[in-house]
Amino acid sequence: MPRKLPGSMKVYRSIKRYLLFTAVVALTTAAPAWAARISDLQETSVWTQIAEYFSFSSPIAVQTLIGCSALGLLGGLLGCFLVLRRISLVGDALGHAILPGIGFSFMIIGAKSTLPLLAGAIVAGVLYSLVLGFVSRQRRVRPDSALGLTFTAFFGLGIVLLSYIQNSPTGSQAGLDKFLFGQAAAISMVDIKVSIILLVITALAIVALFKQLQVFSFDATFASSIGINTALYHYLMMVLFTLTIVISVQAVGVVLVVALLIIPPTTAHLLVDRLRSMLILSGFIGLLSGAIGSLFSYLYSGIPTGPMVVLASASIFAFALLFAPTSGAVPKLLRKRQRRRRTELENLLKSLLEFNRHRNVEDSTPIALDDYLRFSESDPDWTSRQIKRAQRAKLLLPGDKGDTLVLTDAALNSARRILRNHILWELYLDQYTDIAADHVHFDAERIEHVLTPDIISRLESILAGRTIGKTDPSRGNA
Amino acid sequence: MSFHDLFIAPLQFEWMLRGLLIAIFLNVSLGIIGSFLVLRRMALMGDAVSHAVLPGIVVAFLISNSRASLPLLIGATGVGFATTFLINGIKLSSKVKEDAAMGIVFTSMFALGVVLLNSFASHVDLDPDCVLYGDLLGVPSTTVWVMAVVTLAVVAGVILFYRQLQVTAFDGLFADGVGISSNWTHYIFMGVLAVILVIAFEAVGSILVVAMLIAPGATAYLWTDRLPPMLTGSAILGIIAGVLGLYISVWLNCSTAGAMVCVSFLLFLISLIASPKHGVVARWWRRRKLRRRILAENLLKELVRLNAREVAVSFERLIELTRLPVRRLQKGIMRLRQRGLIDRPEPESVRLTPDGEVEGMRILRYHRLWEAFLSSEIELPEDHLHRDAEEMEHLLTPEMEAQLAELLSDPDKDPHGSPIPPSSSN
Repeated sequence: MPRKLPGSMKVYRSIKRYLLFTAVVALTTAAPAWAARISDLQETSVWTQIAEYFSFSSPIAVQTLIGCSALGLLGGLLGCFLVLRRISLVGDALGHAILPGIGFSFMIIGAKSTLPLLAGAIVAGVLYSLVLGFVSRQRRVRPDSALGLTFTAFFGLGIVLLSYIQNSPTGSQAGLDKFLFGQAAAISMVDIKVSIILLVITALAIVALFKQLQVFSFDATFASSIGINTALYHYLMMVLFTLTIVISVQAVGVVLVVALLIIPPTTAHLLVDRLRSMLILSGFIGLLSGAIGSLFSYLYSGIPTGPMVVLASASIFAFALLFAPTSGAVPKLLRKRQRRRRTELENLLKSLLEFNRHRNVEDSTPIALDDYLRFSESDPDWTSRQIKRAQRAKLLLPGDKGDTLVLTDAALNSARRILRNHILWELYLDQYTDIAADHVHFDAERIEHVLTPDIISRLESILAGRTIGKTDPSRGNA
Repeated sequence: MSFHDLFIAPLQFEWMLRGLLIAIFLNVSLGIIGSFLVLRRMALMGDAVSHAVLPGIVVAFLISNSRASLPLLIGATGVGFATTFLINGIKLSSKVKEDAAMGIVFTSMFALGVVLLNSFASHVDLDPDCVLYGDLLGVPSTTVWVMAVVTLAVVAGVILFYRQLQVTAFDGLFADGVGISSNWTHYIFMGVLAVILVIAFEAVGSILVVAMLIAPGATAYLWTDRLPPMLTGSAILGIIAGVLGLYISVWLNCSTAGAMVCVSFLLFLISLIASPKHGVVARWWRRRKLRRRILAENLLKELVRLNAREVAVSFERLIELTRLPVRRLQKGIMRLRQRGLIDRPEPESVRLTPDGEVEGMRILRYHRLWEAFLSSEIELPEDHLHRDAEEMEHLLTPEMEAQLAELLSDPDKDPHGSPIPPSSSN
């Protein structure tokens, strides 16, 4: 019989499940849907533009594509270490915190040129790490408050500087607001060169220090106990994070830059377990989202690139969350449904067999449906549904007389096996645990469907010599 | 620039008065709600929700096509709720950890909001830059009334449900134990948070608002251990930051929200350094005092061991025994002389006064009593006793001494066989 949850609990669970489902679907579908809507407003069709983009005829498009892909790859590789160490939000904080550096260096230089702005951003990033370190060391300030407080303070200062520059007579043309949400078209050759150099350094560091980084990311305490200098690796990683964030800011903006570092690795982690494959997959997902984002930014130049890249990788993440073979929500749901159906079917066959034994006739005697329904305590609708499924599965055959059923050999075997499992388990609970005799039945009802052959053979050897058969503790006739 | 020019002159403008009202209302309600966020260690949840309500706000704007607050409120509050559900759902149903789940959900929602906003910028009366830092001085006067009502409601709600909020903020399990549902309190609290974040959005945007939530609470927490003064303090700190930030933004012609956050953080840093109980300076001062006391007590103990009541002990001998740097030793001896615990019969040697001997005996007694305790009760080997006792001798109190003496039935020898001096109170 199907196990019944209390009604309210059931409703609550299903609401929760559907809320989650719809939210994820909304997240996945919204991006393309809105994008389509926007394209209606444009003159040339999207496909022509896409074809144009991939003909690599426009040097700006090529530059954007290479830049965004390189940054995506970089973020995907490095982000693995951020995600595995569960400090994703430190990346977010670092992203926001470099804004005042950009503002200050603009105020000093008075123009927007890549290298000075990057230098300013790096100084701000380092300064931020120091401030965060100082504030986090105070025991009275909780870690989450410390993080939230410091990065918003830096960001606030950055906003003050930016708004001050923008409101001043010389600064209105600076285009510094591009740093907030990014504009991939603004990627220069210098940016690309820097990011490729950084990519090479990162790749070399990962290859050369793979063992150490692996141990360090999964278990820092263990790493330091076997003599790995964890502080060194921490700072090495922090420097690489800062550089990556700083170089990516141009393309995706300070507000959303962290998504570049956490979404691809988290997605990869859903799909694979080993660090090596996670790195490769995450790098690939990063590259893909970067490329998609740059394409969108080429198609809709009015919309900042950062959010586009984020939505591209979020869609991949949502897809993985739903359809990852082992941990995905949909495969999980399907597996659960399959299990439930098998259990229901097995329960029906068992009940039919019990009916025949109850009447003291041969196991394979045809069963009149009406008689059985009178005997069975379960809901008639449910029973007839199960019978139809069993007939489709060729487990039940119609008898000679009208409205009778015959259990096939396969069905008999399955029912006998379940019945035997049930009794074995009840016997085991009765003999080896302190569970009251009237409690063993309910537990056995569930376990009978999941006992594996090797557990059964172990149970048999434990219980060898005990009476097994029609005696069964819960019926009180042992 | 006189005081009048700086502070009074701007008040003649109606927008400035309105701005002040908004700054005060907003910061009071944000500060109070934020205190609970700080105590519940949910500061980053506040960050996530404030980012994530953006698409809700934009869609509500698109549908109602007005700045009227009700549809906005409902739309965005719904999205805020969905975000907490979504983060929780991802965390529970997959192996994604909470920080990554939070990071992914709020960046994605925020990105969605920005894209929506930019694609429909021409249809909505909403400036994309507003998302980042709001427009406090451009808020219509109807919103001021909404803010006033919400602020009053927050204050009234906190007073009415004070017990529930207090208990759940500090110990959710205990709250459940005494029959206050921490789950319900949590969801109602998240609802109120979402409403306030939406209302604050127009004025200060959705990123900087986090600082206004957390900073006053975290700052007040540095000054007090009790909830009522923390709430009041955080409201007052919020008002100071709001008003001062508003003035600064008017003087410099820069973002109001940004200026408020800077002032807020400055107040936090000042408190972190100067708070009498938990401040860096106060803690440093306490550590210094402890260090000095330990030095003095160690010197006295050493002098008692050397029987310096009768024989003067030379500096050289003390340096050799204690291995202290000369300067520290000199300073320690100078302070002991000032307290009249030792005197100096010759320039380079010291002798204990009667008071000094009593004090030194006390330390020696504590040291040996503790060694006896470790040896007989904890059964530590003999060569492990000394180091531990070296620290505990400075920390024992007369009550603990009495208890130890009673527990060990007033021993007269320590485990190494040296005599334990009698208690000074006898």
